[in-house]
Amino acid sequence: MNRRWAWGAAIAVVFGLSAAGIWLAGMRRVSDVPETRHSQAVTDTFETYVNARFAYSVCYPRELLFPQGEAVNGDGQRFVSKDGLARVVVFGSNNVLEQTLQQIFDQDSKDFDGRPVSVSDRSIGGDSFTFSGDSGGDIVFEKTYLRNDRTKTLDIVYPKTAGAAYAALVRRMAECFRSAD
Amino acid sequence: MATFPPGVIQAAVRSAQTWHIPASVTLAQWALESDYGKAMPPGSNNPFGIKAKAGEAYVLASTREVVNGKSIEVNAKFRKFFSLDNAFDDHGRLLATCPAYLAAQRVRNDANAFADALTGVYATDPHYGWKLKTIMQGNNLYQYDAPTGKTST
Repeated sequence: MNRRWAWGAAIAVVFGLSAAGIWLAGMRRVSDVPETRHSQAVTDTFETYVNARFAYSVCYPRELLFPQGEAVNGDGQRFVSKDGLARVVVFGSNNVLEQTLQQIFDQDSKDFDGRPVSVSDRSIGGDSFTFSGDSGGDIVFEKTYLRNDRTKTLDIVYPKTAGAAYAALVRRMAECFRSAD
Repeated sequence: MATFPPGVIQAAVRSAQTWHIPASVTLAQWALESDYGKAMPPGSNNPFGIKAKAGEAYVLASTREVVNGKSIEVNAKFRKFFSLDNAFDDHGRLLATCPAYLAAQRVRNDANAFADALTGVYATDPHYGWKLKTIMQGNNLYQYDAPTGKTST
């Protein structure tokens, strides 16, 4: 009798755990669709790209963004996201046109990749500026330094629909984008 | 208007005659990449910022960066040329023969279109073509191009 009861209890526990597991797995599948990308973007292992020619560096999540290799002139490089949704460009340049920081801001915040920008957030002062906004259904972000007559710029573009997934990534990359001179 | 030394103009025109690329674009690249000759990797004779590939003579450009809390030195290899003439000739050969510049090669008789086609290939800078054209227009560099009667805006 005791043995039969023990078997019954064991079977009930196994069924119970299986049912709970299936239920939890189902819950995770439903609730993690947007969250997975978000957590991936902010918890991936970050690597640092250092540009020796123009003396700047930026960190990037190596599981999410893939560097496309430096250009021939070593000014920087492009990164493309695994899902193809985001594009990151980082580059330096000699300021031979003698533009002021305000002039560069005005130019870049008006026209991003050939498309008009509706700027929603901006900060300009000292030797750098940042702005973000909407451009043709994409969220765009830029941070630029003007130091020692050289510019160093980080551009990030991603679709508005990916919003939360990439917002944290932008914050992290903007923080770690640094000029060494 | 900035100063373009006679030796630089002659080197750009010679390269244009050899490789059939616009001298105006070469001169604008010289200005932009080297800050009018002031910013070349020391001892490199490399005003175009051309990176060195395996087996090519090079000089190192270094910077110090803080990575993961540690200050480290990072080096990049840039081509070393025997002379400025050598650099201009190699730069011309690169743009005229490398398949990566096919789009530019197709518009080699149109200096402005040629400058635009270098954007995203020769340089990452998305404004690269615009910067070159601004230098070309501001310094009337088109006068050094072989007459073709074709220049886009």
